[in-house]
Amino acid sequence: MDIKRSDLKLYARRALKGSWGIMIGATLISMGISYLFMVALNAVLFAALGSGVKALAGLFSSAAAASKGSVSIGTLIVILIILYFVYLVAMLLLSVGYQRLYLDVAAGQKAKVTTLFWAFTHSPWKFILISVLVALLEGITMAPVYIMSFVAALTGGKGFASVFLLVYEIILLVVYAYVLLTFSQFYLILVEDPAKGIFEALAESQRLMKGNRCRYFVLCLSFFGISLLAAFSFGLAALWLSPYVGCTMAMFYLELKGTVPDALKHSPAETAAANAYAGPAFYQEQPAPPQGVYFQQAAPQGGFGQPAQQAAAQEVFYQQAVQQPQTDMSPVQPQPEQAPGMQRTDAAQPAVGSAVSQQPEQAPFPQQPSETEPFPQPGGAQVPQQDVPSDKDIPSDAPLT
Amino acid sequence: MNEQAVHPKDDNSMALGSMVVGIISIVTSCCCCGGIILGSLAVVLACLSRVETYFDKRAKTGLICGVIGMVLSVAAGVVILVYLASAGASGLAGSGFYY
Repeated sequence: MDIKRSDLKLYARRALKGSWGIMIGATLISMGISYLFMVALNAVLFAALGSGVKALAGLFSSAAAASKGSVSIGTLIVILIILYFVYLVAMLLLSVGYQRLYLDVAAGQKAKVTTLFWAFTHSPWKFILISVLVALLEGITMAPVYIMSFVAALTGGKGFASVFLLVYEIILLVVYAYVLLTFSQFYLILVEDPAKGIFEALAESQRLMKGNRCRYFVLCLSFFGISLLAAFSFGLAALWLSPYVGCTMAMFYLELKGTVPDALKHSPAETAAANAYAGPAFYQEQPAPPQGVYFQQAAPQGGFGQPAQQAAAQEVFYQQAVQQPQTDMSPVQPQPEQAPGMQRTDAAQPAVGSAVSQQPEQAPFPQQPSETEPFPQPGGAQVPQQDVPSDKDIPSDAPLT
Repeated sequence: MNEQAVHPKDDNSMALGSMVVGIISIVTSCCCCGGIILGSLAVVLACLSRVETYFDKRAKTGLICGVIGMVLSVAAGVVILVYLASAGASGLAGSGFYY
Protein backbone atom coordinates (compact mmCIF):
# COMPACT_ATOMS: atom_id res chain seq x y z
CA MET A 1 0.00 0.00 0.00
CA ASP A 2 1.26 3.42 -0.93
CA ILE A 3 2.37 5.71 1.83
CA LYS A 4 0.43 8.95 1.99
CA ARG A 5 2.10 12.14 0.82
CA SER A 6 1.81 13.75 4.24
CA ASP A 7 3.38 10.68 5.84
CA LEU A 8 6.29 10.80 3.42
CA LYS A 9 6.92 14.39 4.47
CA LEU A 10 6.57 13.46 8.12
CA TYR A 11 9.13 10.68 7.70
CA ALA A 12 11.46 13.11 5.95
CA ARG A 13 11.21 15.54 8.84
CA ARG A 14 11.85 12.74 11.31
CA ALA A 15 14.86 11.60 9.32
CA LEU A 16 16.20 15.13 9.25
CA LYS A 17 15.76 15.66 12.97
CA GLY A 18 19.24 15.98 14.40
CA SER A 19 20.82 16.41 10.97
CA TRP A 20 19.68 19.92 10.14
CA GLY A 21 23.01 21.42 11.12
CA ILE A 22 24.94 19.11 8.83
CA MET A 23 22.55 19.68 5.94
CA ILE A 24 22.71 23.45 6.32
CA GLY A 25 26.48 23.24 6.75
CA ALA A 26 26.73 21.24 3.53
CA THR A 27 24.66 23.88 1.75
CA LEU A 28 26.88 26.66 3.08
CA ILE A 29 30.02 24.78 2.04
CA SER A 30 28.61 24.31 -1.43
CA MET A 31 27.70 28.00 -1.59
CA GLY A 32 31.18 28.92 -0.37
CA ILE A 33 32.83 26.79 -3.07
CA SER A 34 30.57 28.31 -5.69
CA TYR A 35 31.41 31.80 -4.40
CA LEU A 36 35.15 31.11 -4.57
CA PHE A 37 34.81 29.90 -8.14
CA MET A 38 32.83 33.01 -9.05
CA VAL A 39 35.47 35.23 -7.49
CA ALA A 40 38.21 33.43 -9.43
CA LEU A 41 36.20 33.61 -12.65
CA ASN A 42 35.57 37.33 -12.18
CA ALA A 43 39.25 37.94 -11.42
CA VAL A 44 40.34 36.17 -14.59
CA LEU A 45 37.63 37.91 -16.59
CA PHE A 46 38.71 41.35 -15.41
CA ALA A 47 42.35 40.46 -16.02
CA ALA A 48 41.42 39.42 -19.56
CA LEU A 49 39.51 42.66 -20.06
CA GLY A 50 42.44 44.65 -18.70
CA SER A 51 44.82 42.79 -20.96
CA GLY A 52 42.51 43.45 -23.89
CA VAL A 53 42.38 47.14 -23.11
CA LYS A 54 46.17 47.23 -22.86
CA ALA A 55 46.46 45.42 -26.17
CA LEU A 56 44.09 47.91 -27.77
CA ALA A 57 46.05 50.78 -26.29
CA GLY A 58 49.23 49.23 -27.66
CA LEU A 59 47.79 49.37 -31.15
CA PHE A 60 47.61 53.15 -31.01
CA SER A 61 50.57 53.99 -28.83
CA SER A 62 53.88 52.17 -28.76
CA ALA A 63 54.67 53.73 -25.40
CA ALA A 64 51.63 52.22 -23.80
CA ALA A 65 52.34 48.78 -25.17
CA ALA A 66 51.75 45.83 -22.94
CA SER A 67 54.51 45.45 -20.45
CA LYS A 68 56.80 42.49 -20.68
CA GLY A 69 55.89 39.49 -18.58
CA SER A 70 52.16 40.17 -18.47
CA VAL A 71 49.86 37.32 -19.38
CA SER A 72 48.47 37.54 -22.86
CA ILE A 73 44.74 37.84 -23.44
CA GLY A 74 44.64 34.49 -25.24
CA THR A 75 46.06 32.69 -22.22
CA LEU A 76 43.60 34.42 -19.94
CA ILE A 77 40.67 33.39 -22.14
CA VAL A 78 41.87 29.78 -22.11
CA ILE A 79 42.20 29.92 -18.30
CA LEU A 80 38.72 31.43 -18.12
CA ILE A 81 37.18 28.66 -20.22
CA ILE A 82 38.98 25.89 -18.28
CA LEU A 83 38.00 27.46 -14.97
CA TYR A 84 34.40 27.71 -16.08
CA PHE A 85 34.28 24.03 -17.03
CA VAL A 86 35.92 23.06 -13.74
CA TYR A 87 33.26 25.13 -11.99
CA LEU A 88 30.46 23.37 -13.88
CA VAL A 89 31.90 19.92 -13.14
CA ALA A 90 32.42 20.75 -9.47
CA MET A 91 28.86 22.01 -9.10
CA LEU A 92 27.53 18.94 -10.89
CA LEU A 93 29.42 16.53 -8.65
CA LEU A 94 28.42 18.49 -5.57
CA SER A 95 24.78 18.21 -6.60
CA VAL A 96 25.22 14.45 -6.96
CA GLY A 97 26.79 14.44 -3.51
CA TYR A 98 23.69 16.23 -2.25
CA GLN A 99 21.52 13.48 -3.65
CA ARG A 100 23.65 10.91 -1.84
CA LEU A 101 23.38 12.92 1.37
CA TYR A 102 19.61 13.08 1.08
CA LEU A 103 19.44 9.37 0.38
CA ASP A 104 21.63 8.59 3.38
CA VAL A 105 19.50 10.70 5.69
CA ALA A 106 16.27 9.26 4.34
CA ALA A 107 17.61 5.74 4.81
CA GLY A 108 18.25 6.52 8.46
CA GLN A 109 22.02 6.64 8.20
CA LYS A 110 24.16 9.21 9.89
CA ALA A 111 24.64 12.33 7.81
CA LYS A 112 28.20 13.44 7.16
CA VAL A 113 29.40 16.59 5.49
CA THR A 114 32.04 14.59 3.62
CA THR A 115 29.24 12.83 1.73
CA LEU A 116 28.90 16.08 -0.18
CA PHE A 117 32.11 15.14 -2.02
CA TRP A 118 31.04 11.55 -2.54
CA ALA A 119 30.69 11.84 -6.32
CA PHE A 120 34.31 12.98 -6.68
CA THR A 121 35.42 9.46 -5.78
CA HIS A 122 32.52 7.35 -7.08
CA SER A 123 32.19 7.18 -10.86
CA PRO A 124 32.55 10.91 -11.48
CA TRP A 125 33.02 10.39 -15.20
CA LYS A 126 29.70 8.59 -15.42
CA PHE A 127 27.84 11.54 -13.94
CA ILE A 128 29.75 13.97 -16.15
CA LEU A 129 28.93 11.88 -19.21
CA ILE A 130 25.26 11.77 -18.26
CA SER A 131 25.15 15.53 -17.87
CA VAL A 132 26.84 16.04 -21.24
CA LEU A 133 24.36 13.66 -22.89
CA VAL A 134 21.40 15.37 -21.24
CA ALA A 135 22.69 18.78 -22.31
CA LEU A 136 23.16 17.51 -25.88
CA LEU A 137 19.67 16.05 -25.92
CA GLU A 138 18.22 19.31 -24.67
CA GLY A 139 20.19 21.23 -27.26
CA ILE A 140 18.96 19.00 -30.09
CA THR A 141 15.33 19.21 -29.01
CA MET A 142 15.54 22.96 -28.48
CA ALA A 143 17.37 23.68 -31.73
CA PRO A 144 14.16 24.00 -33.81
CA VAL A 145 12.86 26.50 -31.24
CA TYR A 146 15.93 28.70 -31.60
CA ILE A 147 15.91 28.47 -35.41
CA MET A 148 12.21 29.17 -35.73
CA SER A 149 12.39 32.00 -33.20
CA PHE A 150 15.04 33.61 -35.39
CA VAL A 151 12.90 33.08 -38.47
CA ALA A 152 9.82 34.43 -36.67
CA ALA A 153 11.78 37.50 -35.62
CA LEU A 154 12.81 38.07 -39.23
CA THR A 155 9.26 37.69 -40.49
CA GLY A 156 7.79 39.91 -37.82
CA GLY A 157 6.02 37.18 -35.89
CA LYS A 158 3.76 36.16 -38.73
CA GLY A 159 3.51 33.07 -40.87
CA PHE A 160 4.46 29.44 -40.51
CA ALA A 161 7.31 29.98 -38.03
CA SER A 162 5.06 31.32 -35.29
CA VAL A 163 2.51 28.52 -35.64
CA PHE A 164 5.28 25.94 -35.70
CA LEU A 165 6.81 27.44 -32.55
CA LEU A 166 3.52 27.32 -30.69
CA VAL A 167 2.72 23.72 -31.63
CA TYR A 168 6.27 22.51 -31.15
CA GLU A 169 6.59 24.06 -27.70
CA ILE A 170 3.32 22.52 -26.54
CA ILE A 171 4.40 19.10 -27.78
CA LEU A 172 7.82 19.59 -26.22
CA LEU A 173 6.25 20.52 -22.88
CA VAL A 174 4.14 17.35 -22.81
CA VAL A 175 7.04 15.14 -23.86
CA TYR A 176 9.39 16.79 -21.36
CA ALA A 177 6.89 16.31 -18.54
CA TYR A 178 6.42 12.64 -19.40
CA VAL A 179 10.13 11.96 -19.74
CA LEU A 180 11.06 13.87 -16.60
CA LEU A 181 8.43 12.06 -14.55
CA THR A 182 9.30 8.66 -15.99
CA PHE A 183 13.02 9.00 -15.39
CA SER A 184 12.78 11.09 -12.23
CA GLN A 185 14.40 8.35 -10.13
CA PHE A 186 17.30 7.89 -12.54
CA TYR A 187 19.83 9.92 -10.56
CA LEU A 188 18.82 8.42 -7.24
CA ILE A 189 19.20 4.90 -8.63
CA LEU A 190 22.67 5.69 -9.87
CA VAL A 191 23.59 7.48 -6.68
CA GLU A 192 22.48 4.51 -4.63
CA ASP A 193 24.42 2.08 -6.79
CA PRO A 194 26.98 3.75 -9.07
CA ALA A 195 27.93 0.36 -10.50
CA LYS A 196 24.66 0.22 -12.41
CA GLY A 197 24.68 1.05 -16.08
CA ILE A 198 22.94 4.08 -17.50
CA PHE A 199 20.35 2.10 -19.45
CA GLU A 200 19.79 -0.22 -16.51
CA ALA A 201 19.06 2.77 -14.30
CA LEU A 202 16.74 4.23 -16.92
CA ALA A 203 14.82 0.95 -17.16
CA GLU A 204 14.57 0.67 -13.39
CA SER A 205 13.32 4.23 -13.08
CA GLN A 206 10.68 3.52 -15.70
CA ARG A 207 9.63 0.39 -13.84
CA LEU A 208 9.47 2.17 -10.48
CA MET A 209 7.50 5.12 -11.81
CA LYS A 210 4.91 3.04 -13.61
CA GLY A 211 1.61 4.08 -12.07
CA ASN A 212 3.32 6.58 -9.77
CA ARG A 213 3.87 9.50 -12.11
CA CYS A 214 0.80 11.33 -10.91
CA ARG A 215 1.76 10.83 -7.28
CA TYR A 216 5.22 12.21 -7.93
CA PHE A 217 3.81 15.17 -9.83
CA VAL A 218 1.40 16.00 -7.02
CA LEU A 219 4.19 15.56 -4.48
CA CYS A 220 6.29 18.07 -6.38
CA LEU A 221 3.37 20.47 -6.61
CA SER A 222 2.69 20.18 -2.90
CA PHE A 223 5.88 22.09 -2.14
CA PHE A 224 4.63 25.17 -3.97
CA GLY A 225 3.13 26.85 -0.92
CA ILE A 226 6.08 26.45 1.37
CA SER A 227 8.42 27.46 -1.46
CA LEU A 228 6.43 30.65 -1.84
CA LEU A 229 6.87 31.31 1.88
CA ALA A 230 10.59 30.65 1.53
CA ALA A 231 10.71 33.18 -1.30
CA PHE A 232 9.14 35.76 1.04
CA SER A 233 12.03 35.22 3.42
CA PHE A 234 14.43 36.28 0.66
CA GLY A 235 15.79 32.75 0.35
CA LEU A 236 16.72 32.44 4.00
CA ALA A 237 14.23 29.63 4.57
CA ALA A 238 15.63 27.78 1.55
CA LEU A 239 18.48 26.64 3.78
CA TRP A 240 15.95 24.44 5.58
CA LEU A 241 13.55 23.88 2.73
CA SER A 242 16.05 22.46 0.28
CA PRO A 243 17.09 19.49 2.48
CA TYR A 244 13.44 18.91 3.34
CA VAL A 245 12.39 18.69 -0.29
CA GLY A 246 15.41 16.56 -1.18
CA CYS A 247 14.79 14.17 1.68
CA THR A 248 11.11 13.85 0.81
CA MET A 249 12.03 12.96 -2.75
CA ALA A 250 14.54 10.41 -1.47
CA MET A 251 11.85 9.06 0.84
CA PHE A 252 9.53 8.72 -2.15
CA TYR A 253 12.23 6.72 -3.90
CA LEU A 254 12.66 4.47 -0.87
CA GLU A 255 8.90 4.04 -0.74
CA LEU A 256 8.85 2.96 -4.38
CA LYS A 257 11.48 0.39 -3.52
CA GLY A 258 9.70 -0.59 -0.31
CA THR A 259 12.69 0.20 1.89
CA VAL A 260 11.42 3.07 4.03
CA PRO A 261 13.11 2.64 7.44
CA ASP A 262 10.68 1.28 10.00
CA ALA A 263 12.17 3.49 12.68
CA LEU A 264 10.67 6.54 10.95
CA LYS A 265 7.18 5.14 11.03
CA HIS A 266 6.99 5.70 14.78
CA SER A 267 7.53 9.11 16.27
CA PRO A 268 10.60 9.71 18.47
CA ALA A 269 8.39 9.96 21.55
CA GLU A 270 6.71 6.66 20.79
CA THR A 271 10.02 4.92 20.21
CA ALA A 272 11.57 6.32 23.39
CA ALA A 273 8.52 5.40 25.44
CA ALA A 274 8.41 1.90 24.02
CA ASN A 275 12.11 1.39 24.66
CA ALA A 276 11.78 2.59 28.23
CA TYR A 277 8.58 0.75 28.85
CA ALA A 278 9.21 -2.73 27.60
CA GLY A 279 12.90 -2.83 26.88
CA PRO A 280 14.01 -5.21 29.67
CA ALA A 281 11.13 -7.61 29.19
CA PHE A 282 11.76 -7.55 25.49
CA TYR A 283 15.30 -8.67 25.95
CA GLN A 284 14.45 -11.33 28.46
CA GLU A 285 11.69 -13.00 26.55
CA GLN A 286 13.47 -13.51 23.31
CA PRO A 287 14.10 -17.04 22.23
CA ALA A 288 17.66 -17.92 21.59
CA PRO A 289 19.13 -16.66 18.36
CA PRO A 290 20.43 -19.08 15.81
CA GLN A 291 24.18 -18.57 16.05
CA GLY A 292 23.51 -15.27 17.75
CA VAL A 293 22.57 -13.58 14.50
CA TYR A 294 18.89 -13.00 14.90
CA PHE A 295 19.14 -11.35 18.26
CA GLN A 296 21.57 -8.84 16.86
CA GLN A 297 19.15 -7.97 14.12
CA ALA A 298 16.09 -7.74 16.33
CA ALA A 299 17.62 -5.73 19.13
CA PRO A 300 16.72 -2.06 18.92
CA GLN A 301 19.65 0.22 18.30
CA GLY A 302 18.78 3.85 18.67
CA GLY A 303 15.23 2.97 17.80
CA PHE A 304 14.82 -0.09 15.66
CA GLY A 305 16.78 -1.87 13.04
CA GLN A 306 17.02 -0.39 9.62
CA PRO A 307 16.80 -3.32 7.18
CA ALA A 308 13.40 -4.20 5.86
CA GLN A 309 13.54 -7.76 7.10
CA GLN A 310 13.21 -6.49 10.66
CA ALA A 311 9.74 -5.10 10.12
CA ALA A 312 8.05 -8.17 11.51
CA ALA A 313 10.35 -8.25 14.51
CA GLN A 314 9.67 -4.59 15.21
CA GLU A 315 5.92 -4.95 15.08
CA VAL A 316 6.09 -7.90 17.44
CA PHE A 317 8.24 -5.83 19.74
CA TYR A 318 5.71 -3.03 19.82
CA GLN A 319 2.99 -5.50 20.49
CA GLN A 320 4.97 -7.01 23.31
CA ALA A 321 5.75 -3.60 24.67
CA VAL A 322 2.10 -2.99 25.40
CA GLN A 323 1.29 -6.53 26.37
CA GLN A 324 3.59 -6.63 29.35
CA PRO A 325 1.79 -6.68 32.73
CA GLN A 326 2.34 -3.20 34.04
CA THR A 327 2.86 -4.25 37.59
CA ASP A 328 5.57 -6.72 36.80
CA MET A 329 8.07 -4.83 34.76
CA SER A 330 11.02 -5.37 37.00
CA PRO A 331 13.94 -7.30 35.60
CA VAL A 332 13.10 -10.93 35.31
CA GLN A 333 15.47 -13.44 36.71
CA PRO A 334 16.79 -16.13 34.41
CA GLN A 335 14.32 -18.94 34.02
CA PRO A 336 15.31 -22.54 33.54
CA GLU A 337 13.62 -22.74 30.15
CA GLN A 338 15.07 -19.48 29.05
CA ALA A 339 17.78 -19.64 26.50
CA PRO A 340 21.21 -18.86 27.86
CA GLY A 341 23.06 -15.87 26.58
CA MET A 342 19.99 -13.65 26.36
CA GLN A 343 20.25 -11.84 29.69
CA ARG A 344 20.77 -8.18 29.48
CA THR A 345 23.40 -7.51 32.07
CA ASP A 346 24.09 -3.84 31.57
CA ALA A 347 23.42 -1.33 34.31
CA ALA A 348 20.48 0.32 32.57
CA GLN A 349 18.24 -2.66 32.93
CA PRO A 350 17.12 -2.33 36.56
CA ALA A 351 16.75 1.43 36.28
CA VAL A 352 14.48 1.25 33.27
CA GLY A 353 12.44 -1.51 34.77
CA SER A 354 11.94 0.39 38.00
CA ALA A 355 10.93 3.49 36.10
CA VAL A 356 8.24 1.66 34.30
CA SER A 357 6.93 0.13 37.44
CA GLN A 358 6.71 3.57 39.01
CA GLN A 359 4.42 4.83 36.29
CA PRO A 360 2.18 2.02 35.32
CA GLU A 361 -0.63 4.23 34.09
CA GLN A 362 1.41 5.78 31.30
CA ALA A 363 1.35 3.10 28.70
CA PRO A 364 2.80 4.34 25.41
CA PHE A 365 0.22 2.52 23.32
CA PRO A 366 -3.41 2.31 24.38
CA GLN A 367 -3.99 -1.23 23.26
CA GLN A 368 -5.72 -4.06 25.00
CA PRO A 369 -3.29 -6.25 26.85
CA SER A 370 -3.31 -9.91 26.07
CA GLU A 371 -1.35 -12.89 27.11
CA THR A 372 2.32 -12.68 26.47
CA GLU A 373 3.35 -14.74 23.56
CA PRO A 374 6.79 -16.00 22.86
CA PHE A 375 8.75 -13.93 20.44
CA PRO A 376 8.19 -15.47 17.03
CA GLN A 377 10.87 -15.98 14.45
CA PRO A 378 10.36 -14.47 11.02
CA GLY A 379 9.01 -17.17 8.80
CA GLY A 380 8.20 -19.35 11.73
CA ALA A 381 11.66 -20.85 11.92
CA GLN A 382 12.36 -23.02 14.90
CA VAL A 383 15.29 -22.13 17.05
CA PRO A 384 17.95 -24.81 17.29
CA GLN A 385 18.64 -24.87 21.00
CA GLN A 386 21.81 -26.87 20.69
CA ASP A 387 23.48 -24.05 18.75
CA VAL A 388 22.85 -21.44 21.39
CA PRO A 389 26.03 -20.07 22.90
CA SER A 390 26.44 -20.22 26.61
CA ASP A 391 26.86 -17.31 28.99
CA LYS A 392 30.55 -17.89 29.09
CA ASP A 393 30.82 -17.29 25.38
CA ILE A 394 29.36 -13.82 25.60
CA PRO A 395 31.02 -11.27 27.85
CA SER A 396 28.71 -9.37 30.11
CA ASP A 397 29.80 -6.00 28.77
CA ALA A 398 29.48 -7.02 25.15
CA PRO A 399 27.35 -4.70 23.03
CA LEU A 400 23.92 -6.04 22.28
CA THR A 401 23.90 -4.99 18.68
CA MET B 1 16.23 10.06 34.15
CA ASN B 2 13.78 7.26 33.74
CA GLU B 3 10.86 9.59 33.85
CA GLN B 4 12.47 11.48 31.03
CA ALA B 5 12.82 8.24 29.16
CA VAL B 6 9.11 7.58 29.44
CA HIS B 7 8.37 11.22 28.66
CA PRO B 8 11.45 12.15 26.69
CA LYS B 9 12.71 15.68 27.06
CA ASP B 10 11.48 17.75 24.18
CA ASP B 11 14.56 18.77 22.26
CA ASN B 12 12.80 20.23 19.29
CA SER B 13 15.13 23.18 18.83
CA MET B 14 13.55 24.06 15.52
CA ALA B 15 10.23 24.70 17.25
CA LEU B 16 12.02 26.93 19.72
CA GLY B 17 13.72 28.76 16.85
CA SER B 18 10.38 29.21 15.15
CA MET B 19 8.91 30.76 18.28
CA VAL B 20 11.85 33.13 18.74
CA VAL B 21 11.87 34.21 15.10
CA GLY B 22 8.09 34.61 15.16
CA ILE B 23 8.24 36.92 18.16
CA ILE B 24 11.03 38.95 16.57
CA SER B 25 8.95 39.19 13.41
CA ILE B 26 6.16 40.88 15.35
CA VAL B 27 8.63 43.30 16.91
CA THR B 28 10.19 44.17 13.58
CA SER B 29 6.98 44.17 11.58
CA CYS B 30 6.95 47.94 11.34
CA CYS B 31 10.37 48.35 9.79
CA CYS B 32 12.02 47.22 6.59
CA CYS B 33 9.83 44.20 5.85
CA GLY B 34 11.23 42.47 8.91
CA GLY B 35 7.83 41.03 9.62
CA ILE B 36 7.53 39.44 6.22
CA ILE B 37 11.07 38.01 6.12
CA LEU B 38 11.17 36.70 9.67
CA GLY B 39 7.47 35.85 9.76
CA SER B 40 7.71 33.61 6.72
CA LEU B 41 10.87 32.06 8.16
CA ALA B 42 9.03 31.38 11.42
CA VAL B 43 6.16 29.73 9.57
CA VAL B 44 8.54 27.56 7.54
CA LEU B 45 10.49 26.53 10.65
CA ALA B 46 7.27 25.74 12.48
CA CYS B 47 6.09 23.54 9.63
CA LEU B 48 9.42 21.72 9.44
CA SER B 49 9.64 21.18 13.18
CA ARG B 50 6.65 18.85 13.32
CA VAL B 51 7.98 15.34 13.81
CA GLU B 52 5.05 14.07 15.82
CA THR B 53 1.51 13.77 14.58
CA TYR B 54 0.71 17.01 16.37
CA PHE B 55 2.27 20.45 16.52
CA ASP B 56 4.66 21.33 19.33
CA LYS B 57 3.31 24.16 21.48
CA ARG B 58 6.32 26.33 20.68
CA ALA B 59 5.95 25.60 16.99
CA LYS B 60 2.31 26.58 17.19
CA THR B 61 3.31 29.80 18.93
CA GLY B 62 5.94 30.46 16.26
CA LEU B 63 3.43 29.78 13.51
CA ILE B 64 0.87 32.18 14.95
CA CYS B 65 3.46 34.85 15.73
CA GLY B 66 4.93 34.52 12.24
CA VAL B 67 1.55 34.95 10.59
CA ILE B 68 0.77 37.92 12.83
CA GLY B 69 4.16 39.43 12.01
CA MET B 70 3.55 39.05 8.28
CA VAL B 71 0.05 40.53 8.50
CA LEU B 72 1.28 43.43 10.62
CA SER B 73 4.12 44.04 8.21
CA VAL B 74 1.78 44.15 5.22
CA ALA B 75 -0.60 46.40 7.15
CA ALA B 76 2.26 48.69 8.12
CA GLY B 77 3.37 48.83 4.50
CA VAL B 78 -0.13 49.72 3.35
CA VAL B 79 -0.45 52.42 6.01
CA ILE B 80 2.91 53.90 5.06
CA LEU B 81 2.00 53.88 1.37
CA VAL B 82 -1.37 55.52 2.04
CA TYR B 83 0.28 58.11 4.26
CA LEU B 84 2.92 58.89 1.66
CA ALA B 85 0.31 59.08 -1.07
CA SER B 86 -1.90 61.41 0.95
CA ALA B 87 1.09 63.52 1.96
CA GLY B 88 2.22 63.69 -1.65
CA ALA B 89 -1.25 64.62 -2.84
CA SER B 90 -1.63 67.34 -0.21
CA GLY B 91 1.84 68.61 -1.04
CA LEU B 92 0.98 68.80 -4.72
CA ALA B 93 -2.33 70.47 -3.92
CA GLY B 94 -0.57 73.00 -1.72
CA SER B 95 1.90 73.77 -4.46
CA GLY B 96 -0.91 74.59 -6.87
CA PHE B 97 -0.35 71.61 -9.16
CA TYR B 98 -3.55 70.34 -10.76
CA TYR B 99 -4.20 67.78 -13.42
